Amino acid sequence: MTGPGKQLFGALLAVLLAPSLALALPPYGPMQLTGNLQSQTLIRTPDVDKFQFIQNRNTMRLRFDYEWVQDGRWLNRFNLPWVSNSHLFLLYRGVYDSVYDAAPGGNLRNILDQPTGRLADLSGHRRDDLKFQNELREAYVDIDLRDLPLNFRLGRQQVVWGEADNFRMLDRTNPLDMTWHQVYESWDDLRIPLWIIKGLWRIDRLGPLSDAFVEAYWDPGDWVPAKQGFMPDYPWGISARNPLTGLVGPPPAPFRTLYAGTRLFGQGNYSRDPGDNSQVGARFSAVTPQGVQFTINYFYQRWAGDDGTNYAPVRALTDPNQIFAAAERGEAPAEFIAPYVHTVGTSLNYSEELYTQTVYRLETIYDFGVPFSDRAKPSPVLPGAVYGISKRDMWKGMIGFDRPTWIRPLNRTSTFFLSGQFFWHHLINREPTFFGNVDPATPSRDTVREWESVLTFLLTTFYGGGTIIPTISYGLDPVNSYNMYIGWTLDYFATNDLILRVGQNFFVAPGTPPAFESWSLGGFNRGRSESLFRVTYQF
Amino acid sequence: MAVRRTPALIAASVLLFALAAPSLAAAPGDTITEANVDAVAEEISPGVLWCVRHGMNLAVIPYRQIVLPKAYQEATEAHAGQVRLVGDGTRLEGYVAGMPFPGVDLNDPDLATKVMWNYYYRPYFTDDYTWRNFAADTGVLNPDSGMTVERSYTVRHFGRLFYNGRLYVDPKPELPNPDGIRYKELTGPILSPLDLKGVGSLSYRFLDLNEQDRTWLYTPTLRRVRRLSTSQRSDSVFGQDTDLDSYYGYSGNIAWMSWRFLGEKKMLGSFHSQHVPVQWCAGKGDFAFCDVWEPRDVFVVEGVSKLPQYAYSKRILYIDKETYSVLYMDAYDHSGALWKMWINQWRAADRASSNPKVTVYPDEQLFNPSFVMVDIQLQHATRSWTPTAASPTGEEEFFNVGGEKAGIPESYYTVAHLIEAGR
Repeated sequence: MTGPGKQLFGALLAVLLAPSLALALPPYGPMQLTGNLQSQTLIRTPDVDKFQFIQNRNTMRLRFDYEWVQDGRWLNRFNLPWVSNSHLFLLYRGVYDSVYDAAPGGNLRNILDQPTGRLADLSGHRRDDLKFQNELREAYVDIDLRDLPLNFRLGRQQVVWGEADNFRMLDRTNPLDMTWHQVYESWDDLRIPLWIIKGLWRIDRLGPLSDAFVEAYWDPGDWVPAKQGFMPDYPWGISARNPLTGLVGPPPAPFRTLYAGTRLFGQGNYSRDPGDNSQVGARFSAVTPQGVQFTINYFYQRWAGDDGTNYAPVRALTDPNQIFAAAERGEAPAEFIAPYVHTVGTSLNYSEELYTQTVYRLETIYDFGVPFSDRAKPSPVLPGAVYGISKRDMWKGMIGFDRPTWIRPLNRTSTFFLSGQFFWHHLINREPTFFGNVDPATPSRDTVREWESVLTFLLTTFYGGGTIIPTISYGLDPVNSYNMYIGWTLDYFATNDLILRVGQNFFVAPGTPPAFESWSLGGFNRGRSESLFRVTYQF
Repeated sequence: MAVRRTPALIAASVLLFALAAPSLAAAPGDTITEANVDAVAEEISPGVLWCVRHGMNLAVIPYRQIVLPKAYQEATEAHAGQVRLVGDGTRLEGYVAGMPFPGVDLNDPDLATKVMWNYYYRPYFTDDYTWRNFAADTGVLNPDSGMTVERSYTVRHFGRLFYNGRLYVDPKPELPNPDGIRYKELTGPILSPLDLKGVGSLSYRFLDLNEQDRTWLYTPTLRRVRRLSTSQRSDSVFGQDTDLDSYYGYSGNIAWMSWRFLGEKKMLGSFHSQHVPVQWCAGKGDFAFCDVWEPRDVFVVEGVSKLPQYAYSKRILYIDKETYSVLYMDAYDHSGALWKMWINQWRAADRASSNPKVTVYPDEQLFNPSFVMVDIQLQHATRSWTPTAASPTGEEEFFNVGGEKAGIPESYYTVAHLIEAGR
């Protein structure tokens, strides 16, 4: 049996066995095995008369929970003097993307509606590499200390802070895997779990403040940049071909690699060890006597490049010594960069019940030293292709609201949950020579602006006793040609364990030429309106 | 205002109420079914009448007295004399512990409000309370075949930690309370189904009834704790039939309703249930429990919400005079039609199961093996119960034993714990 054949056989065996194993465990026991099987199909509908099969992703998730220390006893046999409770959590995710076997014809298209290749153009080996994913996503242990108000979470995990939904500011610990679908797959699937040591100290009362706690983490060397995929390898990834194609790679490409062996969106000029690739974060949270919950946050980590900033992932070498060294090694005079960045921020929420019956959310951060491509620093070797960088600070923020609202003519038993968010990015001391990386030849299409903003709205409710959940979402970028996103999904619980989802999204980019705003509303996703059908069986 | 307080007067008034009440048409040994329910229609609420007409059966047994816990009685005698209503009945002054207004006077203009304050500080819920490892089904009601379950849930905990009026667990009668909290409430984590696994909520209720609740929800899909507005308390929970205000019949703030006393009656209620775990009715009545019911003296109180956009035009509570627990609650829509009802199943006993591992209580407690909430307009119901058949000991409900014993220490009632436990 071939490698992929073995993987497929193993996956099928797991699919058949996992639900019965899960059912064999008692629902309230210390050991729980749960999971789901999911098949998601996407049809791209860029126009009313154009359809293209894009994705059929079959995913299995297996989750194992084990309360292995209870009341200070490990496995109900051994006393642990310092620990009161501990929990083992494992989460596996396996994926089979059948689209790589089906290899449907038809060119994929980029943001300018130009052909970027077909899946059928990929080699068989390449498609085999892409169609399976086997990953122990999370593996951590929670430890509650017996005599101290302290909890540790040790292992591969996600750390999610902040108040914003589906946008990154304080939720920046785990980089994103952008080769997953940004609209139809949850951020829980997009975040890349990292090996982290995290502690939470429950202070509770601190002067007039209540519910106070401090949470801090250290990632000792496991940080990775956001993962990006290009077409045609990833039909739902970045809407362009890899810009290094033909420039970096095996001959006849002129360069073997980027400078110092760095890889675009893969590895910067650093070692993956605690001394060179750590990240830390800390936050203090409390509730004021008036009921305002707030946090104060600090991060020091490498720049992942997944928060919508039109940053520079590549830096042209300008130091002659480095350029000569690169030439001697057959490396390009440019490198993928992920510099360390300090970030301070705060968030708060407040539920105003008397007049507006609304929860208000605020989140804001200040980034120090974000890299931008600068035309004032052209490459001496590849002028017009790559540029040096300049670093600038950025102020970013979000103000949002959540309001459960009765619309009785439409639903008399459940409120509509209405949520709105307004985001802004402000680039401090922006220079007119800064430019984006998507289309450097046409600056008007990919401008690095001093101010960027976007608005989002979401409306959802329950029907049929919670078995039918429609959701409507909308996003608008008022800065870049009023690009917008309109989407809906409808979840239907056919049974308690069988969930059907249908959906449709529309990306609207009315500008001519289109503006490529980096939040991917209608710029990067231009021409990517899609229909969704998803079946999930959970156990 | 006149409030009778001496035990002798209390006993006399109870006796007078009993003598004045007409005898029940339902007699011990009767089983009330769809066929004969019309004869006892006045002895149950319109909501229960609807349920019996749709398959629920009531097996009638004789009345059995429920003696309130000794500590609660002693606290009532010690402190009730100093309690008075202030702020249009929205606050209590001088309350320490026990029942604030024993022996309510039927001629008291504040009668309804005082009954509701007695309900708010009812016995059993004094220090801490835990309903553990419970299940819930929600589904559509079929006229002939019963409930088609659409969604099933299992949940680790529903717990309340009370900060004042404490009688059993030190410190008492009040925990250190600079924030003025009445109780903290923890629900979760949800154990199944997987799409909701890990969801948990935390809510604070304040002594100052003008202070709105504070609520946070941990959502695994977001991986973070989210603040929730508590204003729409009549909103259905996850789209099912229950709403936050309807728990136990009424779980909202006393100050958020205008209360009106409608009268007193002798009615049927289920207070000495015999089936643990719950036994659901057969056939089309399987949305509701089938157990024994007995005559109870009740106060009938109507509540109209002061909150904007409240789902119900009014709710009518049928409150047991002896235990100040709700037998059942009917909720009406804005056209005045009966919309939903909540029915409690109670079981007065000194232990949760025949072989409890944690505690045998010195007094009878009022266990709650199940409840059901029915939307008669949508023909939809939600039922919830513990222990379930999967419970290893059957001991899943705890009164005033301290959080550690019940599996919810005080540190769990914090935002930090929601984050610690989130995954």
